[in-house]
Amino acid sequence: MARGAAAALAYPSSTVMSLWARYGLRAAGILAVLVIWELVGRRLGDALLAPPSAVLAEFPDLFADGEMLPALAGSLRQMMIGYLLALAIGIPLGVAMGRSRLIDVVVHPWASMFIVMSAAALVPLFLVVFGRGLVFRSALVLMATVWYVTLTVYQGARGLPPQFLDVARAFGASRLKTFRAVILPALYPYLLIAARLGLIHALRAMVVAEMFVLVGFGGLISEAGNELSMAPLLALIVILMAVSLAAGAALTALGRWSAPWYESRMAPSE
Amino acid sequence: MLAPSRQFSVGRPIVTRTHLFYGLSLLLGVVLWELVARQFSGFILAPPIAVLTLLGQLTLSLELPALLGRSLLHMTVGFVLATVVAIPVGLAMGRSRVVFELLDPLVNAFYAVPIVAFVPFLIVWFGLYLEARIALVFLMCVFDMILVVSTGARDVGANLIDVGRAFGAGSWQTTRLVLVPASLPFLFAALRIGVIRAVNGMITAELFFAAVNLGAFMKGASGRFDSAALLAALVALCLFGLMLQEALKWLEARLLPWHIRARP
Repeated sequence: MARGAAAALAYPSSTVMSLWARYGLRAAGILAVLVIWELVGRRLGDALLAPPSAVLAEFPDLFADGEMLPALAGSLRQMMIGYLLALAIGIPLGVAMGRSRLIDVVVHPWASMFIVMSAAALVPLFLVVFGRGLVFRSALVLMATVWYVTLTVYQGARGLPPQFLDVARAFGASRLKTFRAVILPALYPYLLIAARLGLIHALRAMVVAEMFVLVGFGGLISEAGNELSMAPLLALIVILMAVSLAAGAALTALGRWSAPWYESRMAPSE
Repeated sequence: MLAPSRQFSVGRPIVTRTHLFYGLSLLLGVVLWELVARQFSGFILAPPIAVLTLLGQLTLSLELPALLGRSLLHMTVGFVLATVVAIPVGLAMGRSRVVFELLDPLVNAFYAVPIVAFVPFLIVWFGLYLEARIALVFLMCVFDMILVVSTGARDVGANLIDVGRAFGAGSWQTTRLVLVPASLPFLFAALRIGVIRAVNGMITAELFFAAVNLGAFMKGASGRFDSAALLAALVALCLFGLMLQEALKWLEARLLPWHIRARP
């Protein structure tokens, strides 16, 4: 993923397109799917695939009945515990792994083992160890997120130009000072990629955990599914999509605003 | 992948010092686990010895291999379907700007939501059994694989293509002699990521639809508060995923000896 963000686009030059053409195409892609979905949905009926018009009609109800918004807000707030912990642990750990061969060989085998573990497979164990409450959900989010953060930051820290560290050493900077003033700013693009990638995995783990113990937003999704009501179910998924995309876009915007000189490296795709 | 590698695999002995350190690290972790487990009751967190013994018993009695073996069908079918879809779509997105702009928002939207959220939807369409499991594995693999393939295809250096053109290669020759060999490494990367997603999808499906195979085993163990059995299942799943990944790496090294990957 990090590789894609750092690489220049290598399309033939004849296909460079204007901003209008780009956004036009993107809108056309989304529109085409909506039209197909509407046509197929109308043929199959609400029970099998509610068309976008029916899903849209659900939104006033969802917002008005006062259940969905508090559930979403509560879920996201609780997700932040695991997500922020994952960043707080993953970033220093990734830097340490990237800069110290010893820490790398100690942590790496475990990191590559934990990163392939699916959040869902951890659920039965975590239910036994942590119960069914907030600790369980936070632990699952943390475990599903932290290794992506760690290994992304690790990739960046490993490729850090040695000159940067030489300068810090020449000025007699302490380890902490070097970390704060040299390593973290140099890793900025990687930190953003780690934050965005981590967010997606945190969100996935949150929904997995909540669907299992039937609380919060994930619980609403399960409920809608149990009632076999397609339109509310799809509306909830669309809301989740919007939240996830908006959060990713917000992180990118934050990166552009706070460090515009990295623009080229944070450009599309991750 | 980003940093230039410090070691190259040419002439590397089979067991290197790195492997030795990895072994030590695993040992260290197991000792740490033992120390932590002693603080808890054996029901909540089983000590490593109990887990490894159980893992050995389950393997020798062929219970675990049988459970995993029965999962292979839906995992493989889902993974193969995802590969068949992801490779052409990813290549088209990587080589054509128009296709990329058309599909990118959609792929990103699906990548951004947990596929598990579609479970109730899949139940309505495919029921609770094999078809639903295949569909979940497919969905969990396909978007991740499309992203890897399209990113890779876009990065195929324009200068490589220019060299081909300078030597008078036609579009068929460019495809055969430049694009395909340059694409194989990231196609393998997509397979490696896909196979891990497939293992995850397999167990997710077994837990979220009608509990079967390893999923049923884990649900049962969770109900009995049998953390040793749960940890044994997790270790087995993890080893299974890593084994498949290593097999793909081995295949890659055999098929693409010119492509020396930076070792992690």
